[in-house]
Amino acid sequence: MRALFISIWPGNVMQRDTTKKYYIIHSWLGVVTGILLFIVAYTGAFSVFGHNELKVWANEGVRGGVTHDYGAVEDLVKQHASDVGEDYLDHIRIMLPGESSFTRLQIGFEKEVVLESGRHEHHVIVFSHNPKTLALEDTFKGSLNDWFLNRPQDMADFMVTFHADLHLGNPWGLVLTGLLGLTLFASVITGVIIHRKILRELFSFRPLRSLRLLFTDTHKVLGVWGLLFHGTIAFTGAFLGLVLVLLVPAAAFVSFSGDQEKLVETFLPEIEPAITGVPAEPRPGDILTQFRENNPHVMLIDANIHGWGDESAIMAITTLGGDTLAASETFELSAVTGELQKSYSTFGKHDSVTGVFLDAMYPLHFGNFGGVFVKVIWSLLGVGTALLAVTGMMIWIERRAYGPEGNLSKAAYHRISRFTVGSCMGLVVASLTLFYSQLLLRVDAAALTYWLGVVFFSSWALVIFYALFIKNSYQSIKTLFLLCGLLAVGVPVLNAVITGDILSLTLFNGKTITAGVDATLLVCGLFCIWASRKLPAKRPDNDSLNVSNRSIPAEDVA
Amino acid sequence: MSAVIIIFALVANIATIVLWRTQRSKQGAIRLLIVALGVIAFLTSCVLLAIPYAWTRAPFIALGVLGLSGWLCVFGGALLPTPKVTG
Amino acid sequence: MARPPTLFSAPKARLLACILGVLVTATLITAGGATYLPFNEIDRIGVPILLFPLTWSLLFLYSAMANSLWRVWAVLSVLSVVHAGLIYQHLAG
Repeated sequence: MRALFISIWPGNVMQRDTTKKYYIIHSWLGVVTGILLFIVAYTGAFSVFGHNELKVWANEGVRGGVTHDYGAVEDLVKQHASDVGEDYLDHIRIMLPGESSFTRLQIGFEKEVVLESGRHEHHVIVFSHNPKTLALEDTFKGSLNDWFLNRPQDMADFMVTFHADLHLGNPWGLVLTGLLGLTLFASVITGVIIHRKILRELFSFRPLRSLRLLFTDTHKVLGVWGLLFHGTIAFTGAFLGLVLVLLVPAAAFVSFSGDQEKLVETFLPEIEPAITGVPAEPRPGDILTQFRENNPHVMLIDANIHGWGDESAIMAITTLGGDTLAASETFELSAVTGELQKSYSTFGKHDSVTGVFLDAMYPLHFGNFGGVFVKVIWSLLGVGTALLAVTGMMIWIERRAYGPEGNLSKAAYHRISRFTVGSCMGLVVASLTLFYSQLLLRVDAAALTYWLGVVFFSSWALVIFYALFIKNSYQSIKTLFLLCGLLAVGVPVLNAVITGDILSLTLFNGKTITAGVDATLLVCGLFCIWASRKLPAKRPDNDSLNVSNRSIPAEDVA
Repeated sequence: MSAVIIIFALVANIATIVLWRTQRSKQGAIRLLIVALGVIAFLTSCVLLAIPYAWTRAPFIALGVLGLSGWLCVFGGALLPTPKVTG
Repeated sequence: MARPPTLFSAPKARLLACILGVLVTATLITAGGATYLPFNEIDRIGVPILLFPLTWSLLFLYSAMANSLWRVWAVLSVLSVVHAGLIYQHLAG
């Protein structure tokens, strides 16, 4: 550790070499992960609104909110409970539409089956109802895992999943995004160490001097002002990415002889009512109505009933948006009398320091702990992280294509530059095509994710080829900004044509989320069109590094 | 109410940052005063944000608002026309 | 003409230490930490898991920055062997 500490607190003859080493680590970490970091950060800024803003926009059925008739919900639960049979009544889950990820009222009945191998498997019967008319739309019977994997998804799910695992799945996708979090965290630390005049750099922005200074100053300003956010996102992202694929298996191997289920049960104990055998009528409708009246500002996600039909039955209501930093809070009530027994956050059942921090990881990463305004802040800061990655890449390329560093030819650095432009701008274009796909694709719900992927990745690839083909990157950036602008402005128009939700109407008829998404796209689109008009069509003259100045001045170390 | 407080916190932070930026060449008591103002602005935004968001969340939101304020000041400031120095 | 001295000695071996050595060591520390930390059961398992990004970053920066690569491998090996031993001892008895 001595080397690390000596270099963190310099003051010896090695200081210059040490700073240069940190600079080299910082720049290589950035260039190796730059494009991937842009992808994950940009999709992260998008995913902040995945649940429930984009979810509501993508599903006409829940636009304008859903008014719940909990009495009618109770009737449906009781009717299905009498149909499914006794062995499916261990755990009943009522998933309420419109407030988070559910777009239909779903009532699930679960039983635990012991397989020949000794392993436990959960079997479910799930009834899906129309969110407004409550008409039964379909029934699923099979394993819990199959139900989860085959649930219908939309563009919001597509984007959130892409952010989490790049659609590479578990484990490789999660490992990749987790490692990306680690490298970003190391980049943040090295960035702080090499910027010794950090306070001066808070205001250093010289956009008109040269392209190199524009990139360097933008990178520093984005980095320094957003330092704590970038650090938080990196730390929580690394944790969330690696926790399931590396950390939990490692901890389970030591503490529970490899039994991961047991480890999860230790941290997240299941609700087990003390069954008395005395029959009693559960009243989920009345309890939910009363709970909603007492807690008008929280989001009700689902209600889980354990021990159906017994006087000791427990109803656990999961909520979002309470007074804690934790994303979700669960209230345990008697399913018969409605008496509140206890409330706790996801990891708050035990009195532990770890639980507090584990609870904070997800909300601090996704910014879903304080309503839509906090989401807006998190999303804008997330765009800052994405721009941090891309400006870092451009500095690296500038120093090599027009400066004294690097071993490749100028043409090779230009190709890297064009690929970077295509990858980053292409992702923006591809993300906008998701809105069109969601509105225009008329395919089976189960096949929608596949077709969303086809459109998304095809459009992304097309833009990459276009950017590689056009030699003048300035012209391609200008054109792609215009394309992004037109695509974004076109979404509210197409939405109005297809669904009839015209922006001027949705602003006033209660469909505020739909209006908010449309208006945001409109503003972003107009900004892109404006930026496209302002951007230069070719590289400005006299805009290269002074080649004679071969050493890196401390204040230019980016 | 949360929207009003967030906008208030944003304006308070921007005002402090602008003051800091314009007066940063000053030394002594003025410099100390600006640092104190900066800390007070941040703490005030924490206290105000704690009203709708609770204490456990307010510091995180205040830090986010501070970061955004900095970007707005620096990038927004560059868009403003600067007076030409003559003579 | 003599080549100027490089800032990073043995770059390929150092890259291996930074990528593979650090990940393995950090994982072993995370797993092995649960055997000796003086906390309750939940915190004993949870604290090393929560600190994993910090553990990795410190080891990564040390491995990248240290002048002597032998010392890097020695530190990583000692940490790995000690934690592997603690895990073995815990599982065996």
